[in-house]
Amino acid sequence: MKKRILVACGSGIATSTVVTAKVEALLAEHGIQANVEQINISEAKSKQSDADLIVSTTMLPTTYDIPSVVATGYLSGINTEDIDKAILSALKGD
Amino acid sequence: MSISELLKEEYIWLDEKLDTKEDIFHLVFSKAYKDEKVKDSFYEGLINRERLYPTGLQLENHGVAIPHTDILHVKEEFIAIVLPEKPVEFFRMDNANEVVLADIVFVLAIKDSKSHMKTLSELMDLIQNDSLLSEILRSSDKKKIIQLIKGNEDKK
Repeated sequence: MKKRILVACGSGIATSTVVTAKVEALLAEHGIQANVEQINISEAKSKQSDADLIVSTTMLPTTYDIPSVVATGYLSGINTEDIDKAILSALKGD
Repeated sequence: MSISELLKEEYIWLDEKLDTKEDIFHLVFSKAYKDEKVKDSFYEGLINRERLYPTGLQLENHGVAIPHTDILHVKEEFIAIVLPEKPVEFFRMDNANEVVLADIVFVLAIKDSKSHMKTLSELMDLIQNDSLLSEILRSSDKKKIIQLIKGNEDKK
């Protein structure tokens, strides 16, 4: 089934734009079919019910029922491989 | 749109004596408001966004911050670069309890993310390019900084 991923930042406009592109490229590289939606982190709580994963550039303000990955490293370029792994493993459910 | 298209010499500040992020916001806001590029709510917008969702990034050798606001405060888009004389404290984007000392600050006044995919990814490339960032920080010439950024874009 097609996965659904929420990519969040504080405004839903600046850093999530960059991270959305990174996530889409990662998924394509691994042949994972997914819808990626760019959101404002405050929307994550209400949108999580029909999503599989939250990827955020900011600290998470609360806990969620679905897996979440903080991906600030995609912006700073630090530990990006760990973020790739965390996203892929969350989607594979292992 | 490339960063260099949104960047003007008059929106670059070098070696400014600025002690706090509020000083930086005020500096950029005063100029942008005078030029009618932002609404009078832009300063508060920066403060509030930074308080809720800080924008400091700790890099290997540098600290960077990329403050921005909700789009409604912006009338005409621009990117400002501020190099404070001494690094200024911001909180970290990935951990708001930790401080990063920013030696370069990019204030992003953006109205629409869709059209700025390229700008934003170029900015991240720039931030991740340690030698380019170091060269910008060493530079005392605004023209040179624009050339450095443009040169990096042209390589793409």
